[in-house]
Amino acid sequence: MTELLRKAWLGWTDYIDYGKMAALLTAALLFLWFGRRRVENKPLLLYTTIMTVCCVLPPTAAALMAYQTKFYDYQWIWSLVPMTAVTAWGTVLLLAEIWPDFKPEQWRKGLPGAALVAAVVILCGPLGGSGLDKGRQPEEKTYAYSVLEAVKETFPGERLCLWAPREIMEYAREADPEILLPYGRNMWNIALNAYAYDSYDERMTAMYQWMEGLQGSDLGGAAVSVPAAPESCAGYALDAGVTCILLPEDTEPGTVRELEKALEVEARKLEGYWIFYGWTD
Amino acid sequence: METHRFSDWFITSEIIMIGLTEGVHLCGLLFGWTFSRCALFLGAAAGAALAFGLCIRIIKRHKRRKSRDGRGFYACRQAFVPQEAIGGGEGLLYALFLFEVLSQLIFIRMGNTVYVERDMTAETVGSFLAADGIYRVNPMTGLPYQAGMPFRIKILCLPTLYAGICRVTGFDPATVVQFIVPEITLISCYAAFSALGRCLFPQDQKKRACFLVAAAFLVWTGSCGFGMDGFNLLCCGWRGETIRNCVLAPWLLSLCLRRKWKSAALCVLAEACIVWTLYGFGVCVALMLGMAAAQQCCKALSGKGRGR
Repeated sequence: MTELLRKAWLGWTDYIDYGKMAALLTAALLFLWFGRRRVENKPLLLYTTIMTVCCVLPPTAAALMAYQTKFYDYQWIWSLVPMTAVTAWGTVLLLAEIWPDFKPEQWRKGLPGAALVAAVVILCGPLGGSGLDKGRQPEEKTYAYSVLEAVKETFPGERLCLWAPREIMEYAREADPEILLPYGRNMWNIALNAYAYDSYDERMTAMYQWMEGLQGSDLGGAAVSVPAAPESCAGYALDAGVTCILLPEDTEPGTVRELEKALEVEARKLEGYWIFYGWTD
Repeated sequence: METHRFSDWFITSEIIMIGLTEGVHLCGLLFGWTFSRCALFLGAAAGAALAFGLCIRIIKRHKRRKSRDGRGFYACRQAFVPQEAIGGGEGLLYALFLFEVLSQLIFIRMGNTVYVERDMTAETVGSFLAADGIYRVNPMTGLPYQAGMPFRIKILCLPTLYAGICRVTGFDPATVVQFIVPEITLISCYAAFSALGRCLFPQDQKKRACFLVAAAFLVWTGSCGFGMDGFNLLCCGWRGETIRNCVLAPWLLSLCLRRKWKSAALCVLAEACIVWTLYGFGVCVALMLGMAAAQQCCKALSGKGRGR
Protein backbone atom coordinates (compact mmCIF):
# COMPACT_ATOMS: atom_id res chain seq x y z
CA MET A 1 0.00 0.00 0.00
CA THR A 2 2.87 2.36 0.84
CA GLU A 3 4.34 1.73 -2.60
CA LEU A 4 0.97 2.48 -4.20
CA LEU A 5 0.68 5.70 -2.17
CA ARG A 6 4.17 6.73 -3.27
CA LYS A 7 3.25 6.00 -6.90
CA ALA A 8 0.04 8.01 -6.52
CA TRP A 9 1.93 10.99 -5.13
CA LEU A 10 4.70 10.83 -7.75
CA GLY A 11 2.08 10.29 -10.44
CA TRP A 12 0.25 13.44 -9.41
CA THR A 13 3.44 15.56 -9.42
CA ASP A 14 4.33 14.16 -12.86
CA TYR A 15 0.81 14.83 -14.04
CA ILE A 16 0.94 18.51 -13.16
CA ASP A 17 4.53 18.93 -14.35
CA TYR A 18 3.44 18.53 -17.95
CA GLY A 19 0.30 20.59 -18.47
CA LYS A 20 -2.26 22.09 -16.20
CA MET A 21 -5.37 20.41 -17.59
CA ALA A 22 -6.39 19.45 -14.06
CA ALA A 23 -6.27 23.15 -13.11
CA LEU A 24 -8.37 23.98 -16.15
CA LEU A 25 -10.89 21.33 -15.13
CA THR A 26 -10.99 22.75 -11.59
CA ALA A 27 -11.61 26.22 -12.99
CA ALA A 28 -14.41 24.84 -15.18
CA LEU A 29 -15.95 23.06 -12.17
CA LEU A 30 -15.79 26.20 -10.04
CA PHE A 31 -17.41 28.19 -12.82
CA LEU A 32 -20.13 25.58 -13.33
CA TRP A 33 -20.90 25.40 -9.59
CA PHE A 34 -20.63 29.05 -8.59
CA GLY A 35 -20.31 31.15 -11.73
CA ARG A 36 -23.92 30.87 -12.88
CA ARG A 37 -27.30 31.67 -11.42
CA ARG A 38 -28.71 28.19 -11.99
CA VAL A 39 -26.65 25.03 -11.71
CA GLU A 40 -27.56 22.57 -14.47
CA ASN A 41 -26.87 18.84 -14.71
CA LYS A 42 -25.96 18.63 -11.05
CA PRO A 43 -25.37 14.84 -11.06
CA LEU A 44 -22.66 15.18 -13.70
CA LEU A 45 -21.07 18.07 -11.81
CA LEU A 46 -21.24 16.24 -8.50
CA TYR A 47 -19.76 13.06 -9.94
CA THR A 48 -16.93 14.95 -11.70
CA THR A 49 -16.10 17.00 -8.60
CA ILE A 50 -15.92 13.96 -6.32
CA MET A 51 -13.85 11.94 -8.79
CA THR A 52 -11.46 14.85 -9.35
CA VAL A 53 -10.87 15.14 -5.61
CA CYS A 54 -10.39 11.36 -5.40
CA CYS A 55 -7.79 11.46 -8.19
CA VAL A 56 -5.85 14.28 -6.51
CA LEU A 57 -5.73 12.99 -2.91
CA PRO A 58 -3.05 10.27 -2.58
CA PRO A 59 -5.02 7.76 -0.43
CA THR A 60 -8.06 7.77 -2.72
CA ALA A 61 -5.82 7.89 -5.80
CA ALA A 62 -3.99 4.80 -4.50
CA ALA A 63 -7.33 3.07 -3.95
CA LEU A 64 -8.36 3.92 -7.51
CA MET A 65 -5.03 2.59 -8.81
CA ALA A 66 -5.69 -0.66 -6.96
CA TYR A 67 -9.16 -0.71 -8.52
CA GLN A 68 -7.55 -0.30 -11.94
CA THR A 69 -5.68 -3.61 -11.37
CA LYS A 70 -2.35 -1.84 -10.50
CA PHE A 71 -1.37 -2.65 -14.10
CA TYR A 72 -1.88 0.93 -15.22
CA ASP A 73 0.07 4.08 -14.36
CA TYR A 74 -1.34 6.89 -12.26
CA GLN A 75 -2.47 8.87 -15.32
CA TRP A 76 -5.05 6.22 -16.16
CA ILE A 77 -7.14 6.82 -13.03
CA TRP A 78 -8.08 10.13 -14.65
CA SER A 79 -10.13 8.00 -17.07
CA LEU A 80 -12.77 8.09 -14.35
CA VAL A 81 -13.04 11.86 -14.70
CA PRO A 82 -14.82 13.18 -17.82
CA MET A 83 -12.19 15.88 -18.14
CA THR A 84 -12.59 16.84 -21.80
CA ALA A 85 -16.39 16.79 -21.64
CA VAL A 86 -16.73 18.88 -18.49
CA THR A 87 -13.99 21.34 -19.49
CA ALA A 88 -15.65 21.80 -22.89
CA TRP A 89 -19.02 22.24 -21.19
CA GLY A 90 -17.63 24.91 -18.86
CA THR A 91 -15.85 26.60 -21.77
CA VAL A 92 -19.08 26.79 -23.80
CA LEU A 93 -21.04 28.30 -20.92
CA LEU A 94 -18.27 30.80 -20.19
CA LEU A 95 -18.17 31.77 -23.87
CA ALA A 96 -21.95 32.10 -23.86
CA GLU A 97 -21.61 34.60 -21.01
CA ILE A 98 -18.99 36.61 -22.88
CA TRP A 99 -20.61 36.31 -26.30
CA PRO A 100 -24.38 35.83 -25.78
CA ASP A 101 -25.95 33.62 -28.46
CA PHE A 102 -22.71 33.87 -30.48
CA LYS A 103 -24.33 36.60 -32.57
CA PRO A 104 -22.03 37.48 -35.49
CA GLU A 105 -22.77 41.20 -35.07
CA GLN A 106 -21.32 41.12 -31.54
CA TRP A 107 -17.97 39.81 -32.69
CA ARG A 108 -16.09 42.86 -31.41
CA LYS A 109 -17.03 41.90 -27.89
CA GLY A 110 -17.05 38.13 -28.31
CA LEU A 111 -14.01 37.40 -30.42
CA PRO A 112 -11.36 38.81 -28.04
CA GLY A 113 -13.01 36.90 -25.18
CA ALA A 114 -13.03 33.68 -27.21
CA ALA A 115 -9.38 34.23 -28.17
CA LEU A 116 -8.48 34.76 -24.51
CA VAL A 117 -10.25 31.55 -23.48
CA ALA A 118 -8.48 29.66 -26.31
CA ALA A 119 -5.12 31.08 -25.17
CA VAL A 120 -5.75 29.97 -21.58
CA VAL A 121 -6.69 26.47 -22.78
CA ILE A 122 -3.53 26.25 -24.91
CA LEU A 123 -1.35 27.44 -22.03
CA CYS A 124 -2.87 24.81 -19.76
CA GLY A 125 -1.94 22.04 -22.22
CA PRO A 126 1.39 20.20 -22.20
CA LEU A 127 2.70 22.56 -24.93
CA GLY A 128 4.74 19.87 -26.62
CA GLY A 129 6.47 18.66 -23.46
CA SER A 130 4.91 15.36 -22.48
CA GLY A 131 7.88 14.03 -20.55
CA LEU A 132 7.78 10.97 -22.77
CA ASP A 133 10.60 9.47 -24.73
CA LYS A 134 10.04 10.50 -28.36
CA GLY A 135 10.29 6.81 -29.26
CA ARG A 136 10.18 5.99 -32.94
CA GLN A 137 11.33 8.44 -35.56
CA PRO A 138 9.64 8.33 -38.99
CA GLU A 139 12.93 8.33 -40.92
CA GLU A 140 14.25 5.49 -38.74
CA LYS A 141 11.11 3.49 -39.52
CA THR A 142 11.35 4.11 -43.27
CA TYR A 143 15.01 3.06 -43.28
CA ALA A 144 14.31 -0.08 -41.22
CA TYR A 145 11.46 -1.06 -43.55
CA SER A 146 13.72 -0.66 -46.62
CA VAL A 147 16.45 -2.78 -45.00
CA LEU A 148 13.93 -5.48 -44.07
CA GLU A 149 12.55 -5.47 -47.61
CA ALA A 150 16.07 -5.90 -48.98
CA VAL A 151 16.76 -8.74 -46.52
CA LYS A 152 13.56 -10.52 -47.59
CA GLU A 153 14.57 -10.22 -51.24
CA THR A 154 18.12 -11.42 -50.59
CA PHE A 155 17.40 -14.25 -48.17
CA PRO A 156 17.00 -17.45 -50.16
CA GLY A 157 15.30 -19.75 -47.59
CA GLU A 158 11.71 -19.94 -46.43
CA ARG A 159 12.15 -19.54 -42.70
CA LEU A 160 13.70 -16.15 -41.98
CA CYS A 161 14.73 -15.87 -38.32
CA LEU A 162 16.58 -12.59 -38.08
CA TRP A 163 19.10 -11.39 -35.53
CA ALA A 164 19.97 -7.75 -36.10
CA PRO A 165 20.61 -4.49 -34.26
CA ARG A 166 17.74 -3.05 -32.25
CA GLU A 167 16.83 -0.36 -34.80
CA ILE A 168 15.95 -3.13 -37.28
CA MET A 169 14.41 -5.65 -34.89
CA GLU A 170 12.14 -2.92 -33.48
CA TYR A 171 10.23 -2.88 -36.77
CA ALA A 172 10.75 -6.41 -38.08
CA ARG A 173 7.58 -8.06 -36.74
CA GLU A 174 5.48 -5.04 -37.61
CA ALA A 175 6.82 -4.82 -41.17
CA ASP A 176 6.43 -8.51 -41.86
CA PRO A 177 4.82 -10.94 -39.39
CA GLU A 178 6.48 -13.84 -41.25
CA ILE A 179 9.90 -12.73 -39.94
CA LEU A 180 10.87 -14.55 -36.74
CA LEU A 181 13.17 -13.10 -34.10
CA PRO A 182 15.25 -14.72 -31.33
CA TYR A 183 14.18 -11.86 -29.03
CA GLY A 184 11.67 -9.08 -29.56
CA ARG A 185 10.94 -5.49 -28.64
CA ASN A 186 10.22 -6.53 -25.05
CA MET A 187 13.98 -7.02 -24.55
CA TRP A 188 14.48 -3.23 -24.41
CA ASN A 189 10.88 -2.13 -23.81
CA ILE A 190 10.41 -3.79 -20.42
CA ALA A 191 6.76 -2.71 -20.04
CA LEU A 192 5.83 -5.15 -22.81
CA ASN A 193 6.78 -8.09 -20.58
CA ALA A 194 3.45 -7.60 -18.78
CA TYR A 195 1.74 -9.19 -21.79
CA ALA A 196 3.39 -12.61 -21.41
CA TYR A 197 4.92 -14.87 -18.79
CA ASP A 198 7.82 -15.66 -21.13
CA SER A 199 11.24 -14.31 -20.23
CA TYR A 200 14.61 -14.34 -21.95
CA ASP A 201 17.43 -16.47 -20.68
CA GLU A 202 21.02 -15.32 -20.14
CA ARG A 203 22.08 -16.41 -23.61
CA MET A 204 19.46 -14.19 -25.28
CA THR A 205 20.50 -11.28 -23.08
CA ALA A 206 24.13 -11.93 -24.01
CA MET A 207 23.23 -11.91 -27.72
CA TYR A 208 21.39 -8.61 -27.29
CA GLN A 209 24.23 -7.04 -25.31
CA TRP A 210 26.82 -8.18 -27.81
CA MET A 211 24.85 -6.86 -30.80
CA GLU A 212 24.16 -3.49 -29.18
CA GLY A 213 27.70 -3.31 -27.85
CA LEU A 214 28.92 -3.19 -31.46
CA GLN A 215 27.34 0.25 -31.76
CA GLY A 216 27.72 1.30 -28.15
CA SER A 217 23.90 1.64 -27.81
CA ASP A 218 21.97 2.27 -24.64
CA LEU A 219 20.89 -1.19 -23.49
CA GLY A 220 17.45 -0.22 -22.27
CA GLY A 221 16.26 -2.51 -19.48
CA ALA A 222 18.62 -5.42 -20.12
CA ALA A 223 21.15 -6.10 -17.36
CA VAL A 224 24.75 -5.49 -18.41
CA SER A 225 27.26 -8.26 -17.84
CA VAL A 226 30.62 -9.23 -19.29
CA PRO A 227 30.35 -9.06 -23.12
CA ALA A 228 30.27 -12.47 -24.81
CA ALA A 229 32.69 -13.47 -27.56
CA PRO A 230 31.48 -13.49 -31.20
CA GLU A 231 31.86 -17.28 -31.43
CA SER A 232 29.72 -17.92 -28.36
CA CYS A 233 27.07 -15.50 -29.62
CA ALA A 234 27.07 -17.25 -32.98
CA GLY A 235 26.53 -20.54 -31.13
CA TYR A 236 23.65 -19.05 -29.14
CA ALA A 237 22.13 -17.70 -32.35
CA LEU A 238 22.32 -21.10 -34.05
CA ASP A 239 20.72 -22.74 -31.01
CA ALA A 240 17.91 -20.14 -31.13
CA GLY A 241 17.22 -21.06 -34.76
CA VAL A 242 18.57 -17.83 -36.28
CA THR A 243 18.93 -18.12 -40.06
CA CYS A 244 20.10 -14.61 -40.93
CA ILE A 245 22.30 -12.10 -39.10
CA LEU A 246 22.78 -8.39 -39.77
CA LEU A 247 25.71 -6.47 -38.32
CA PRO A 248 26.23 -2.71 -38.64
CA GLU A 249 28.52 -1.80 -41.53
CA ASP A 250 30.97 -0.03 -39.20
CA THR A 251 31.58 -3.23 -37.18
CA GLU A 252 35.28 -3.88 -36.70
CA PRO A 253 36.66 -6.08 -39.53
CA GLY A 254 38.08 -8.51 -36.99
CA THR A 255 34.64 -9.15 -35.50
CA VAL A 256 33.12 -9.71 -38.95
CA ARG A 257 35.89 -12.18 -39.79
CA GLU A 258 35.43 -14.03 -36.49
CA LEU A 259 31.72 -14.40 -37.14
CA GLU A 260 32.36 -15.53 -40.73
CA LYS A 261 34.72 -18.16 -39.36
CA ALA A 262 32.27 -19.31 -36.69
CA LEU A 263 29.36 -19.59 -39.13
CA GLU A 264 31.46 -20.74 -42.10
CA VAL A 265 29.82 -18.24 -44.44
CA GLU A 266 30.95 -15.10 -46.20
CA ALA A 267 29.44 -11.75 -45.12
CA ARG A 268 28.00 -9.43 -47.79
CA LYS A 269 27.12 -5.79 -47.68
CA LEU A 270 23.44 -4.84 -47.77
CA GLU A 271 21.92 -1.38 -47.23
CA GLY A 272 24.49 -0.26 -44.66
CA TYR A 273 24.81 -3.65 -42.92
CA TRP A 274 26.79 -6.87 -43.14
CA ILE A 275 24.47 -9.77 -43.86
CA PHE A 276 25.27 -13.39 -42.94
CA TYR A 277 23.11 -16.30 -44.11
CA GLY A 278 23.26 -19.70 -45.74
CA TRP A 279 25.06 -21.72 -43.05
CA THR A 280 24.27 -25.36 -42.41
CA ASP A 281 22.97 -26.48 -38.99
CA MET B 1 -38.94 8.61 -24.93
CA GLU B 2 -36.18 10.23 -26.93
CA THR B 3 -35.55 8.83 -30.40
CA HIS B 4 -32.19 7.17 -30.98
CA ARG B 5 -29.92 9.52 -32.83
CA PHE B 6 -27.46 8.60 -35.54
CA SER B 7 -24.61 8.87 -33.00
CA ASP B 8 -26.41 6.38 -30.76
CA TRP B 9 -26.90 3.94 -33.61
CA PHE B 10 -23.30 4.34 -34.70
CA ILE B 11 -21.81 3.61 -31.28
CA THR B 12 -24.32 0.86 -30.51
CA SER B 13 -23.37 -0.94 -33.73
CA GLU B 14 -19.69 -0.63 -32.80
CA ILE B 15 -20.40 -2.16 -29.41
CA ILE B 16 -22.38 -4.98 -31.04
CA MET B 17 -19.39 -5.57 -33.33
CA ILE B 18 -17.13 -5.76 -30.27
CA GLY B 19 -19.52 -8.27 -28.70
CA LEU B 20 -19.59 -10.44 -31.81
CA THR B 21 -15.82 -10.31 -32.07
CA GLU B 22 -15.48 -11.33 -28.44
CA GLY B 23 -17.66 -14.38 -29.10
CA VAL B 24 -15.61 -15.44 -32.10
CA HIS B 25 -12.35 -14.64 -30.28
CA LEU B 26 -13.32 -16.88 -27.36
CA CYS B 27 -14.29 -19.68 -29.77
CA GLY B 28 -10.88 -19.31 -31.40
CA LEU B 29 -9.16 -19.52 -28.04
CA LEU B 30 -11.17 -22.27 -26.41
CA PHE B 31 -11.81 -24.53 -29.40
CA GLY B 32 -8.55 -23.84 -31.21
CA TRP B 33 -10.23 -22.50 -34.37
CA THR B 34 -7.95 -21.23 -37.09
CA PHE B 35 -8.04 -17.50 -37.67
CA SER B 36 -9.50 -18.01 -41.15
CA ARG B 37 -12.44 -19.79 -39.58
CA CYS B 38 -12.80 -17.07 -36.95
CA ALA B 39 -12.78 -14.39 -39.65
CA LEU B 40 -15.42 -16.29 -41.62
CA PHE B 41 -17.67 -16.60 -38.57
CA LEU B 42 -17.09 -12.95 -37.67
CA GLY B 43 -18.06 -11.85 -41.17
CA ALA B 44 -21.16 -14.07 -41.10
CA ALA B 45 -22.16 -12.85 -37.62
CA ALA B 46 -21.65 -9.21 -38.61
CA GLY B 47 -23.69 -9.76 -41.78
CA ALA B 48 -26.47 -11.49 -39.82
CA ALA B 49 -26.50 -8.69 -37.22
CA LEU B 50 -26.71 -6.09 -39.96
CA ALA B 51 -29.57 -7.94 -41.69
CA PHE B 52 -31.36 -8.38 -38.36
CA GLY B 53 -30.96 -4.68 -37.55
CA LEU B 54 -32.28 -3.67 -40.95
CA CYS B 55 -35.26 -6.05 -40.62
CA ILE B 56 -36.15 -4.63 -37.21
CA ARG B 57 -35.89 -1.13 -38.60
CA ILE B 58 -38.06 -1.94 -41.63
CA ILE B 59 -40.69 -3.65 -39.45
CA LYS B 60 -40.79 -0.70 -37.05
CA ARG B 61 -41.09 1.72 -39.92
CA HIS B 62 -43.84 -0.35 -41.50
CA LYS B 63 -45.78 -0.45 -38.22
CA ARG B 64 -45.49 3.30 -37.82
CA ARG B 65 -46.67 3.86 -41.39
CA LYS B 66 -49.60 1.59 -40.70
CA SER B 67 -50.63 3.76 -37.79
CA ARG B 68 -51.00 6.51 -40.45
CA ASP B 69 -50.09 9.32 -38.17
CA GLY B 70 -47.09 10.15 -40.27
CA ARG B 71 -44.76 10.08 -37.28
CA GLY B 72 -42.93 6.97 -38.47
CA PHE B 73 -41.29 8.71 -41.34
CA TYR B 74 -40.71 11.81 -39.24
CA ALA B 75 -39.07 9.87 -36.45
CA CYS B 76 -36.88 8.04 -38.95
CA ARG B 77 -35.92 11.33 -40.57
CA GLN B 78 -35.22 12.78 -37.16
CA ALA B 79 -32.68 10.08 -36.45
CA PHE B 80 -30.45 11.22 -39.29
CA VAL B 81 -30.96 14.95 -39.80
CA PRO B 82 -30.91 17.79 -37.29
CA GLN B 83 -34.37 18.84 -36.12
CA GLU B 84 -33.72 22.55 -36.47
CA ALA B 85 -32.36 24.22 -39.56
CA ILE B 86 -28.70 25.19 -39.25
CA GLY B 87 -28.34 28.97 -39.12
CA GLY B 88 -25.36 31.13 -40.08
CA GLY B 89 -23.76 31.11 -36.61
CA GLU B 90 -24.09 27.35 -36.17
CA GLY B 91 -22.89 26.81 -39.73
CA LEU B 92 -19.70 28.68 -38.97
CA LEU B 93 -19.18 26.73 -35.75
CA TYR B 94 -19.82 23.41 -37.52
CA ALA B 95 -17.39 24.44 -40.27
CA LEU B 96 -14.76 25.19 -37.60
CA PHE B 97 -15.45 21.83 -35.98
CA LEU B 98 -15.15 20.07 -39.34
CA PHE B 99 -11.83 21.85 -39.94
CA GLU B 100 -10.55 20.65 -36.56
CA VAL B 101 -11.63 17.06 -37.21
CA LEU B 102 -10.12 17.04 -40.71
CA SER B 103 -6.84 18.41 -39.39
CA GLN B 104 -6.83 15.67 -36.75
CA LEU B 105 -7.55 12.98 -39.35
CA ILE B 106 -4.64 14.31 -41.43
CA PHE B 107 -2.44 14.33 -38.32
CA ILE B 108 -3.26 10.67 -37.68
CA ARG B 109 -2.66 9.82 -41.35
CA MET B 110 0.80 11.43 -41.22
CA GLY B 111 1.66 8.90 -38.52
CA ASN B 112 4.66 10.76 -37.15
CA THR B 113 3.56 10.52 -33.54
CA VAL B 114 2.36 6.94 -33.34
CA TYR B 115 3.08 5.80 -29.76
CA VAL B 116 3.86 2.10 -29.47
CA GLU B 117 6.13 2.13 -26.42
CA ARG B 118 3.86 -0.03 -24.23
CA ASP B 119 1.86 -1.63 -26.98
CA MET B 120 2.22 -4.56 -29.34
CA THR B 121 -1.15 -4.60 -31.10
CA ALA B 122 0.30 -4.41 -34.63
CA GLU B 123 2.59 -7.37 -33.94
CA THR B 124 -0.26 -9.32 -32.31
CA VAL B 125 -2.56 -8.76 -35.30
CA GLY B 126 0.26 -9.77 -37.64
CA SER B 127 0.93 -12.93 -35.63
CA PHE B 128 -2.76 -13.92 -35.82
CA LEU B 129 -2.67 -13.60 -39.61
CA ALA B 130 0.73 -15.22 -40.10
CA ALA B 131 0.12 -18.17 -37.74
CA ASP B 132 -3.55 -18.43 -38.78
CA GLY B 133 -4.57 -18.73 -35.15
CA ILE B 134 -5.23 -16.71 -32.03
CA TYR B 135 -2.20 -16.39 -29.71
CA ARG B 136 -0.50 -19.45 -31.14
CA VAL B 137 2.85 -17.66 -31.17
CA ASN B 138 4.44 -14.91 -29.11
CA PRO B 139 3.79 -11.71 -31.11
CA MET B 140 7.17 -10.32 -30.10
CA THR B 141 9.19 -13.10 -31.70
CA GLY B 142 6.82 -15.17 -33.83
CA LEU B 143 8.00 -18.27 -31.94
CA PRO B 144 5.72 -20.46 -29.77
CA TYR B 145 5.09 -19.28 -26.22
CA GLN B 146 7.31 -20.85 -23.56
CA ALA B 147 5.25 -19.99 -20.48
CA GLY B 148 2.10 -18.51 -22.00
CA MET B 149 0.36 -15.26 -21.21
CA PRO B 150 -2.14 -13.91 -18.66
CA PHE B 151 -5.65 -15.15 -19.41
CA ARG B 152 -7.15 -11.73 -18.67
CA ILE B 153 -5.18 -10.27 -21.59
CA LYS B 154 -5.76 -13.29 -23.77
CA ILE B 155 -9.54 -12.80 -23.76
CA LEU B 156 -9.39 -9.17 -24.99
CA CYS B 157 -10.79 -9.20 -28.50
CA LEU B 158 -9.49 -6.08 -30.27
CA PRO B 159 -6.59 -7.85 -32.05
CA THR B 160 -9.09 -10.31 -33.57
CA LEU B 161 -11.29 -7.44 -34.73
CA TYR B 162 -8.32 -5.64 -36.31
CA ALA B 163 -7.07 -8.85 -37.90
CA GLY B 164 -10.58 -9.34 -39.31
CA ILE B 165 -10.42 -5.82 -40.79
CA CYS B 166 -7.02 -6.68 -42.31
CA ARG B 167 -8.52 -9.82 -43.85
CA VAL B 168 -11.51 -7.95 -45.29
CA THR B 169 -9.67 -4.86 -46.56
CA GLY B 170 -6.38 -6.47 -47.52
CA PHE B 171 -4.39 -3.80 -45.68
CA ASP B 172 -1.35 -4.75 -43.62
CA PRO B 173 -1.67 -4.85 -39.80
CA ALA B 174 0.35 -1.67 -39.22
CA THR B 175 -1.89 0.34 -41.57
CA VAL B 176 -5.08 -0.92 -39.98
CA VAL B 177 -3.86 -0.54 -36.40
CA GLN B 178 -2.02 2.76 -36.66
CA PHE B 179 -4.11 4.63 -39.23
CA ILE B 180 -7.54 3.21 -40.07
CA VAL B 181 -8.69 2.25 -36.56
CA PRO B 182 -7.55 5.54 -34.91
CA GLU B 183 -9.50 7.45 -37.56
CA ILE B 184 -12.63 5.42 -36.84
CA THR B 185 -12.06 5.96 -33.10
CA LEU B 186 -11.73 9.72 -33.62
CA ILE B 187 -15.00 9.88 -35.54
CA SER B 188 -16.70 7.67 -32.93
CA CYS B 189 -15.38 9.96 -30.21
CA TYR B 190 -17.06 12.96 -31.78
CA ALA B 191 -20.25 10.94 -32.26
CA ALA B 192 -20.16 10.29 -28.50
CA PHE B 193 -19.48 13.98 -27.77
CA SER B 194 -22.35 14.89 -30.08
CA ALA B 195 -24.69 12.64 -28.04
CA LEU B 196 -23.38 14.21 -24.84
CA GLY B 197 -23.75 17.73 -26.24
CA ARG B 198 -27.37 16.96 -27.05
CA CYS B 199 -27.94 16.09 -23.37
CA LEU B 200 -26.10 19.13 -22.02
CA PHE B 201 -27.72 21.63 -24.39
CA PRO B 202 -31.00 20.03 -25.50
CA GLN B 203 -32.56 23.28 -26.75
CA ASP B 204 -29.56 25.14 -28.08
CA GLN B 205 -27.95 24.02 -31.30
CA LYS B 206 -25.40 26.82 -31.26
CA LYS B 207 -24.09 25.72 -27.89
CA ARG B 208 -24.01 22.12 -29.11
CA ALA B 209 -21.90 23.17 -32.07
CA CYS B 210 -19.69 25.24 -29.78
CA PHE B 211 -19.36 22.23 -27.43
CA LEU B 212 -18.02 20.12 -30.30
CA VAL B 213 -15.60 22.87 -31.31
CA ALA B 214 -14.37 23.16 -27.71
CA ALA B 215 -14.03 19.38 -27.35
CA ALA B 216 -12.01 19.16 -30.60
CA PHE B 217 -9.85 22.06 -29.44
CA LEU B 218 -9.19 20.31 -26.12
CA VAL B 219 -8.25 17.16 -28.04
CA TRP B 220 -5.63 19.17 -29.94
CA THR B 221 -4.42 20.78 -26.73
CA GLY B 222 -3.99 17.47 -24.94
CA SER B 223 -2.25 15.78 -27.85
CA CYS B 224 1.18 15.97 -26.19
CA GLY B 225 0.21 14.82 -22.70
CA PHE B 226 0.46 11.11 -21.99
CA GLY B 227 -2.90 9.77 -20.77
CA MET B 228 -4.87 12.79 -22.02
CA ASP B 229 -7.77 12.22 -24.39
CA GLY B 230 -5.99 14.15 -27.13
CA PHE B 231 -2.86 12.03 -26.83
CA ASN B 232 -4.87 8.82 -26.77
CA LEU B 233 -6.88 9.78 -29.83
CA LEU B 234 -4.09 11.19 -31.96
CA CYS B 235 -1.17 8.95 -30.98
CA CYS B 236 -2.68 5.59 -29.98
CA GLY B 237 -6.29 5.49 -31.12
CA TRP B 238 -6.32 1.71 -31.58
CA ARG B 239 -5.90 0.91 -27.88
CA GLY B 240 -8.77 -0.39 -25.81
CA GLU B 241 -8.15 2.32 -23.22
CA THR B 242 -8.61 5.00 -25.88
CA ILE B 243 -11.87 3.52 -27.12
CA ARG B 244 -13.07 3.29 -23.53
CA ASN B 245 -12.03 6.83 -22.50
CA CYS B 246 -12.94 8.67 -25.68
CA VAL B 247 -15.91 6.74 -27.06
CA LEU B 248 -17.55 4.64 -24.37
CA ALA B 249 -17.16 7.04 -21.43
CA PRO B 250 -18.68 10.18 -23.06
CA TRP B 251 -21.46 8.11 -24.58
CA LEU B 252 -22.08 6.41 -21.25
CA LEU B 253 -22.33 9.84 -19.60
CA SER B 254 -24.94 10.88 -22.13
CA LEU B 255 -26.85 7.64 -21.46
CA CYS B 256 -26.69 8.20 -17.71
CA LEU B 257 -28.02 11.74 -18.16
CA ARG B 258 -30.85 10.28 -20.27
CA ARG B 259 -31.33 7.44 -17.72
CA LYS B 260 -30.90 4.74 -20.37
CA TRP B 261 -29.38 2.20 -18.05
CA LYS B 262 -29.76 -0.82 -20.33
CA SER B 263 -27.67 0.79 -23.05
CA ALA B 264 -25.23 1.92 -20.35
CA ALA B 265 -24.75 -1.72 -19.36
CA LEU B 266 -23.62 -2.39 -22.95
CA CYS B 267 -20.68 -0.02 -22.38
CA VAL B 268 -19.67 -1.98 -19.29
CA LEU B 269 -19.67 -5.21 -21.25
CA ALA B 270 -17.77 -3.63 -24.12
CA GLU B 271 -15.10 -2.36 -21.74
CA ALA B 272 -14.67 -5.83 -20.26
CA CYS B 273 -14.02 -7.14 -23.80
CA ILE B 274 -11.40 -4.55 -24.75
CA VAL B 275 -9.56 -3.43 -21.61
CA TRP B 276 -7.87 -5.27 -18.78
CA THR B 277 -10.17 -4.53 -15.84
CA LEU B 278 -10.65 -5.90 -12.36
CA TYR B 279 -12.88 -8.81 -13.40
CA GLY B 280 -15.05 -6.49 -15.50
CA PHE B 281 -15.13 -3.73 -12.86
CA GLY B 282 -13.54 -0.95 -14.83
CA VAL B 283 -14.11 2.69 -15.60
CA CYS B 284 -17.56 2.22 -17.12
CA VAL B 285 -18.98 0.44 -14.06
CA ALA B 286 -17.57 3.13 -11.77
CA LEU B 287 -18.89 5.86 -14.04
CA MET B 288 -22.34 4.34 -14.26
CA LEU B 289 -22.63 3.66 -10.53
CA GLY B 290 -21.13 7.07 -9.72
CA MET B 291 -23.61 8.86 -11.96
CA ALA B 292 -26.52 6.83 -10.57
CA ALA B 293 -25.44 7.65 -7.01
CA ALA B 294 -24.99 11.33 -7.91
CA GLN B 295 -28.47 11.41 -9.43
CA GLN B 296 -29.97 9.85 -6.30
CA CYS B 297 -28.03 12.26 -4.13
CA CYS B 298 -29.21 15.29 -6.11
CA LYS B 299 -32.76 13.98 -6.06
CA ALA B 300 -32.66 13.53 -2.29
CA LEU B 301 -31.12 16.97 -1.78
CA SER B 302 -33.66 18.69 -4.03
CA GLY B 303 -36.47 16.82 -2.18
CA LYS B 304 -35.13 18.13 1.14
CA GLY B 305 -34.87 21.63 -0.29
CA ARG B 306 -38.49 21.52 -1.46
CA GLY B 307 -39.59 20.13 1.91
CA ARG B 308 -38.12 23.14 3.67
